[in-house]
Amino acid sequence: MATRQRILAAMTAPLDAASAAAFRIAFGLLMLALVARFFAHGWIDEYFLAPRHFFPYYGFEWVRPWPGVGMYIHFAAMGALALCITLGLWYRASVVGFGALFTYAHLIDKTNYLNHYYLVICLCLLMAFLPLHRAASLDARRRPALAGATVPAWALWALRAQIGLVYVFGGIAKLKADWLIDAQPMQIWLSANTDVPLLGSLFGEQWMAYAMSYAGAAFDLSIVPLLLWRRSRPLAFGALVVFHLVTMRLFQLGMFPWIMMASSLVFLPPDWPRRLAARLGHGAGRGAAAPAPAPAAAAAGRPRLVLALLGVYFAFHVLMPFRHLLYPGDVLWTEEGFRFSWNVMLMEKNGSVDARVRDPATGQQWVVAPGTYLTRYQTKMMAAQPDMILHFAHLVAADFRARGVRDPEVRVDAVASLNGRRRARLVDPTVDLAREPDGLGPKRWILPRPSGEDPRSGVAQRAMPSEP
Amino acid sequence: MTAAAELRPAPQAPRRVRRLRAAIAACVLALATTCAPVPLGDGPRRQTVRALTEQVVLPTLGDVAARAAELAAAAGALAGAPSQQALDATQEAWRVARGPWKECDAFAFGPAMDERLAVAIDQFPVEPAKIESEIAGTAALTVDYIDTIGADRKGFHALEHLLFGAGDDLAVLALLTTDAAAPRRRELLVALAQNLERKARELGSAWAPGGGAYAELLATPSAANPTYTTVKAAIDAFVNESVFLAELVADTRIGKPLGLSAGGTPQPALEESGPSDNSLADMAASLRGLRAVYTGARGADGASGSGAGIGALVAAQSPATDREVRDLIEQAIAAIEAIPRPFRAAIVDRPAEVQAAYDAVKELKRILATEVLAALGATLKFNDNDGD
Repeated sequence: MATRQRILAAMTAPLDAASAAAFRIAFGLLMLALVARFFAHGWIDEYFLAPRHFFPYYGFEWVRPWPGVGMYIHFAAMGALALCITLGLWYRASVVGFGALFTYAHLIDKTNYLNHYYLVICLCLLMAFLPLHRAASLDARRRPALAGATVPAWALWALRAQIGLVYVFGGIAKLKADWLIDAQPMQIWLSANTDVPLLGSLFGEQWMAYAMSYAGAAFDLSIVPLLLWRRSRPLAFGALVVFHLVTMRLFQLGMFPWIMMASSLVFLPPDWPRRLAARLGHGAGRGAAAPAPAPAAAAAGRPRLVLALLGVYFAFHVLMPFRHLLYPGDVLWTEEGFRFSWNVMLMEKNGSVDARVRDPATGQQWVVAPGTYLTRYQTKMMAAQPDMILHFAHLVAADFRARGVRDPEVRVDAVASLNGRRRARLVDPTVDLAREPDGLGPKRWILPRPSGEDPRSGVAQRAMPSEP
Repeated sequence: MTAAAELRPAPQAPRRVRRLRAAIAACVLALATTCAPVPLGDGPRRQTVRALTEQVVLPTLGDVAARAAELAAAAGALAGAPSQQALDATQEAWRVARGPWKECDAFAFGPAMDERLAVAIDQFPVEPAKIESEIAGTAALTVDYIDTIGADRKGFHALEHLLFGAGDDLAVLALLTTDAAAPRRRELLVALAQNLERKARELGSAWAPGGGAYAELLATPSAANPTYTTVKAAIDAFVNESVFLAELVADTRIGKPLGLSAGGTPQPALEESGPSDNSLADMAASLRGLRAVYTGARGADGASGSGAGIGALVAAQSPATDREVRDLIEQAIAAIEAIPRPFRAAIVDRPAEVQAAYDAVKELKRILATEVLAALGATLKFNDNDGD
């Protein structure tokens, strides 16, 4: 009973709202940059207007791009809402609106899945319930009753937990033979970056691949406790910045390193913005009077309910990355349970797919190149992901039905190479995928990953099953 | 300094200051790694890109320009004094020029695409009706005029239409001599050939050190390079083009005429160089270009060059993959060369041989798109998307 009370007291304790406000501002600015990049790189057209077909998530087939200039308006609205989040203007409505629009855009096509997009969606969901607009916001200025110098501790802990999950599960995902025993795909990635200044000359060395593999896993697994421990926090945060800057140089990770670096500021003491401002000669520093609980803090008067809801939310997020254990085979090969699990920078996988269509009534056959239906980027992403291959087979079948083939059979020649291994068949070429249902259950037509091959040994590829 | 002084512990900065220093040092190191415009190391990948540009790309483009000049000269001679001999010489010059040009398919990025030179030289298909309308028109048929018209009425295939498109040589000569529009047809022939030569020279110049210096751009990746910030990007450019080319040859140049995408019904109209019966030679040349990029050696037998191609990098990572790629390239070229000419007849009468060539090139594409990409850590880049 006492423990529960202590936890309750700790979670509801008022903490300086400065860190929460800084997180909100940083998040808003990063989202503004993220949206701007979609405009600057032409991704709105490329991802949502140019493709003739999309790879929807199971159950979200109804999510489609808006017609005409709708997607441009969609992203412009996201930009406006990101600005509102930054300014703390209509904060809750803005974060809900931004989250909804962002989620909608990224449910359209699995092709565009990125772990940090998923993180943005999770953060928006959390932020909708967190009072991150009590300080340094236009809302607080417009409505003094809302303003406050503190936020309940659970608000910061919720953010820390969300960010921490990315690192912890990113580390757990690395505890695999490829990563730890073969130092793959690190060897592949480093060997492609031997021209990186200072360190590049070492990237061709095998020991370096092992060192960086182990360092990467150790970093992911340890960074959260090291950030939480006051004595190790400064060095841990420095290491975090170094880690993300280096990975940003080696890989094209877009906003991911920035989001992680900015988000990790929530691990610093809640008053870090005030301390920083004081050091820079602005505002009240640490010596200022401790912030008093805001009137609105009383609104956190349902702490048990809040903590219960957070418990349910994080229980879901702790279990979600383990769902791949419910499927047979190596998750890197089958990719069943791969997404939404913080499998960050974990594999080098490339595939090639062609479809064969047969009309059982006439025996007539067609070879279908994915490019007939998909953009080159969609083709690339589909070629190594079995659930996308299935969807591709279904859309080919639908097209042939529309062209008068009543009951087309669709089989695929799909090969893939994982983490430097020789290529092997990914999908059983004898299975008519047009008849295989989509869904969340195990896909029996995914062939097992070739086993026992050292990616660098030159062992011949596994014999391929004969085609029908 | 005395020994005693050396042994005396130096005064230590406070712990927090030391931590802060360490953190700052680490950040500086990371920033230097990330941002510093330090000259890049001369590693094997960089050397490979340099060797490919100097020993494969530039010599091949030089050959294209030289052969295009010979074609223009032959076309001029044919237009000046039409005869069977002159027609034979011009047709042969056209075929000879196709060889190095189709080898350029293996590095058809950069100026070929950015300056739209590839389509000006080799658009397929062209529109015979539009070419004939140019002959029937009144515009002065000069090399400059050809610059202004659409790609579907110029380049190699427009010349092919004039040199081979009438069915037989007698008919071609008749159109060049006795036909009412013969003078304008001859003018167009000359203007097209001269324009082709001009575009071939422009392409060579765009890559050459004294011109656009694209080869230098490719071979000197750096943070300050506007196109290739890393050597990985330069390697990616070659590898991407190889994957795309193998796919193009398999699916578009073999598979479509064979009817694989048409329910098995041959589609002779989709043969790329049908009138000249040069399709098979075109395909073999394209794969020789791919072989040159992979092996670093040019020529019909793939023996001319340093051997510093993509394959050497693959071999360093996966010798078995490298051996198989080399075998598959030779098998694909051999399978194409084993198809009896003309290709339009083979797709109907000898589909097994054509299918074998398709399968061989397709297998080459598969290994390039999977194992070679993996061995090199290359990225199939169709856009500048992010990843994580």
